[in-house]
Amino acid sequence: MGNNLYTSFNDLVKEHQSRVFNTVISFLQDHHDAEDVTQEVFIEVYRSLEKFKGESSISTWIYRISVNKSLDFLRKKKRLKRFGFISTMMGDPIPEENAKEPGHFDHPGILLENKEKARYLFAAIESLPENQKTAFILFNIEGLPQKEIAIVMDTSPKAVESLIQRAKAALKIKLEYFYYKRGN
Amino acid sequence: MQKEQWINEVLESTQGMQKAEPGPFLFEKVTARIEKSKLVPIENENTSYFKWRFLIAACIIIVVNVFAIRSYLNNGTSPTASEIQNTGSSAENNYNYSTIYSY
Repeated sequence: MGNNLYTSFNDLVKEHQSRVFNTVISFLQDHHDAEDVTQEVFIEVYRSLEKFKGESSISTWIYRISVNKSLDFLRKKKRLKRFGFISTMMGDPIPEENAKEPGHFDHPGILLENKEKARYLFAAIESLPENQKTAFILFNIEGLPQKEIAIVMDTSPKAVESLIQRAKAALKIKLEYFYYKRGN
Repeated sequence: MQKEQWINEVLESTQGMQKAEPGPFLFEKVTARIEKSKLVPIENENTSYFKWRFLIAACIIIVVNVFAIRSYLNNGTSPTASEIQNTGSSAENNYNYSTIYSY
């Protein structure tokens, strides 16, 4: 890679790094994993820059890569967990990941007074199906307009609106369960 | 009522949140991984080349074994060394006969 290309790529990384990291950490709910996947997102951006046709804005395109990489990571983790379950049945000790209680994740950007409640929210988000999770994170956490979310998810704005409504309904059910579980 | 209020507060707990920032040297880490990955495709090519060779060899071995087992099952017994020798010599004889031209 030439020095000029590195310089412009450096500018691109600087400009988009916080929104990539913020999106990825909301999906993965782990600081270390989010750092790793953020790097993977920019490696993919670098490799695919030539394929970028400019049909959407570059930030929308980067959001799409971030979402895909995050979902890929979560699928891989799920597969490993399943394998871990089999290992446990075979007599291996329970992996640390499985021992975590709901509400373990502290998003670094959340205001101090909201931290405890946000832990419950992220635990509930974790249980959502992929498309509802994506729509909810991009709308409520990233603050993207529904039209842009539709481009990122390759669907219509109406479908995004429906996904957000369904996500909120599912979250309410999950939060109700947490409400009683915490002893109220 | 209290429950509804708590659920709504939880749902709104992301309001006013700030963007989380990745650790320092992200660009340097990314470029280092890109440079490192440039070496990997050569290794991968070799690996996939050997993988194909191994697969072809394995297929040949399997096919040969299947034929051997099938012929063993059809004949009931495996041919003895003397039988093989006889078969070889009769073939040799046939060959000799066929090359005797009596024009």
